[in-house]
Amino acid sequence: MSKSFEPNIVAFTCNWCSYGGADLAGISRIQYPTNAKVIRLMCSGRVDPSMVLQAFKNGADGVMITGCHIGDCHYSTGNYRTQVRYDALSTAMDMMGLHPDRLRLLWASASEGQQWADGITEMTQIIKKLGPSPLNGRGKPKKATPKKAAPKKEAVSKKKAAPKKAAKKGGAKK
Amino acid sequence: MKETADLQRVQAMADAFADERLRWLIGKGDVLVQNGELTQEKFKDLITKTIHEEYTRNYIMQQLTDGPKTVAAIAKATQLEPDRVLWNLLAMMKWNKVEIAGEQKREYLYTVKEF
Amino acid sequence: MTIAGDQVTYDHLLPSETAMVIGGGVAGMQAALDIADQNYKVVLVEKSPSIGGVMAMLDKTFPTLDCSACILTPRLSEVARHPNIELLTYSEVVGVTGKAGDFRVRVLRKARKVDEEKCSGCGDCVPHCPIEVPNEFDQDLGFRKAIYIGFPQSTPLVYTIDTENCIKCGMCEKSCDRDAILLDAEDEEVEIPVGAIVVATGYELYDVTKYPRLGYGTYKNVMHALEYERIINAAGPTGGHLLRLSDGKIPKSLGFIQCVGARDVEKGVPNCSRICCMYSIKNAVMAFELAHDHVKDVTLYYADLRAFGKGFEEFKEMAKERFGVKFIRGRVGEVSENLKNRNVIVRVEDTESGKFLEKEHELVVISPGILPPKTLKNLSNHMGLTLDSDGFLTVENETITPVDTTVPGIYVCGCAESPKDIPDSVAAGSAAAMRASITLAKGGAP
Repeated sequence: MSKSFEPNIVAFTCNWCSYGGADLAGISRIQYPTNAKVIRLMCSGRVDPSMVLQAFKNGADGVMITGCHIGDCHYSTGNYRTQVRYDALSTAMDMMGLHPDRLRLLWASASEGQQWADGITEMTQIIKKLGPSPLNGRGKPKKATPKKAAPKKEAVSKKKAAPKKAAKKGGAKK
Repeated sequence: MKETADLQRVQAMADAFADERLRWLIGKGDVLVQNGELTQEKFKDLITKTIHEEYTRNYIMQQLTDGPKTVAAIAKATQLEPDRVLWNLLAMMKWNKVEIAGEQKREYLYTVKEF
Repeated sequence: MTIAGDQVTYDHLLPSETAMVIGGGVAGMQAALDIADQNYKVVLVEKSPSIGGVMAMLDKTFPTLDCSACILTPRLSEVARHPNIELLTYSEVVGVTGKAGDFRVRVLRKARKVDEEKCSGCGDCVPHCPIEVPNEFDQDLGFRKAIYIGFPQSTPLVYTIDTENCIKCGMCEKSCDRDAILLDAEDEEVEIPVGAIVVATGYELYDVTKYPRLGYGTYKNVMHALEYERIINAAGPTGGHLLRLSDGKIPKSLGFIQCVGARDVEKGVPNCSRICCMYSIKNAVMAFELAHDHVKDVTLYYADLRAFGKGFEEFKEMAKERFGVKFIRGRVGEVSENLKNRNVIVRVEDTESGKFLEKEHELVVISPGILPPKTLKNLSNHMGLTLDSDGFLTVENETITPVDTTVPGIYVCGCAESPKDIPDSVAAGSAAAMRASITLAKGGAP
């Protein structure tokens, strides 16, 4: 079976609420895709825009920032900063040429295991539709990625095209 | 949406966000809005404008790292409009980041200013 | 006494020995120096953060092609250093009462939010200010921060914070070693007793957007004369390199359009603006001087060429013969753009040959007529002065008292009275200074 595209998602998670939520999702045996790489920080306010951009530079297909709900931050004002930084970053996404849906902000409390898992699932689905990030070269960056094209057809055509291209490339190298 | 990002552009954006100007605005922003110095809308406009400027300028600076270039050459490499490139180059000249190094046919060559 | 508390009072000034000059341009500075050199005291009120006026923005003056800043800046220093002149910049006159020999003038000192005593003009605050806005001194072609000086020779050399754009982030305060920033300063009104007033408010350019057919604002490569002056100025936004704004190229063909905002009855400006022909010829010559390898064709479209003064006709001939400036007699009808290369196409009738021409230029400079600033109307209301139909201040008798206004004790010089070039403005400044000194010497008696 040929592999379909599995997104690489980086999820910055705050130690108190959202990591607690992730833990709860695990304990409750909630099933969710394994595409998210969780990076635990003490507060979502620790997330610097340069970290998000570094993740994209290293080839992440999507980045999530998750934290406590507004007003519930363990350090009282941390997540206000996160909100401002996320707003700035989402304006920046379009300017750089990345689809804004590749960056997502999710507030989830420690008791909201299901919500956290749903957030990851949704993100994975969105990124699967968008395709690989143009920076990691796993897809074809020049091809226009239609937002709501039937994903199965996309995947099928990619599967068929990918081995052909690989064969061509292999041929050229030799 | 056609995604046109490449490593250079993301690096330019990273350089923009690492700069004092944006770091300060983003870091101090909500405090200023809460104090009533700024309205939320004005703040958002200011951030968008500043990100745009800083990103474009860093992107242009990247083009100059491997030698002096003309406005037309920079516009071609970055896919930006020539008048936008010129405007940002003039700003960078004012803030001593760029200078005119010479002429090429009927265009000026811009280069990174050394200290 | 001041309204805002007892910070600054001017009670030490006696009206019998103090004059006020409103406007810090070349005429105002000349008047201030002449009065102060006679040992009277002068209070010079200027509405922008620095004295210098429009002459500080120019590159070269006609007909001598003297460097404008080189002849102006010694005056700036003289005014700043003069023991008898008190400089109130970033201030406006908001009310006048009294009569010749005993006026009480209310001056609004706008809050520049920087302590004038402490600021040394070092500029440490500038890199840290996050707000960047277009620089009005550079005709919006250059850049400044919310804390700024308009040009490097600003006098007094004190930074100003633009309240409209400042977000009070405090970065300048942190970076200032001298604690000169006062972010919470307020506007202050003071009352100053003076014996005579000289109005020297200078001029503004006619707003060229009122001629949509000439394309200013629509086409990138159409600019007006002051923008052109800033571009060719070595201290300007391009460092003195002549280039056009759509793509930064050096233009090989330039066009100058005359009689815009002057000699136009329909637009309410029937008068001739006196200086535009000469400054345009000077600008045309400068194009050749700056980029003689590339500039091949400079054309001036005029209605009448008025080169009336000393040395003017010779200057015009030099432009024609030595530099090769072409003169076409015809008022430009319309300007359009060549979309491929953003060149500007000028449509004009050459009235000497009777032919219609469509000439393509890479850069077009509109030479607007000059008008008094819009704030002059308010100012004249405060002082009981009248404006004539062109908007300039009326004088008592145009023939024999060219600097006396209709109110005794108030005199006018420079372009506030009528369009003038620099030598005439300086002469009028000295004349008004003399008239004001007589008023002071006679204690206001007629």
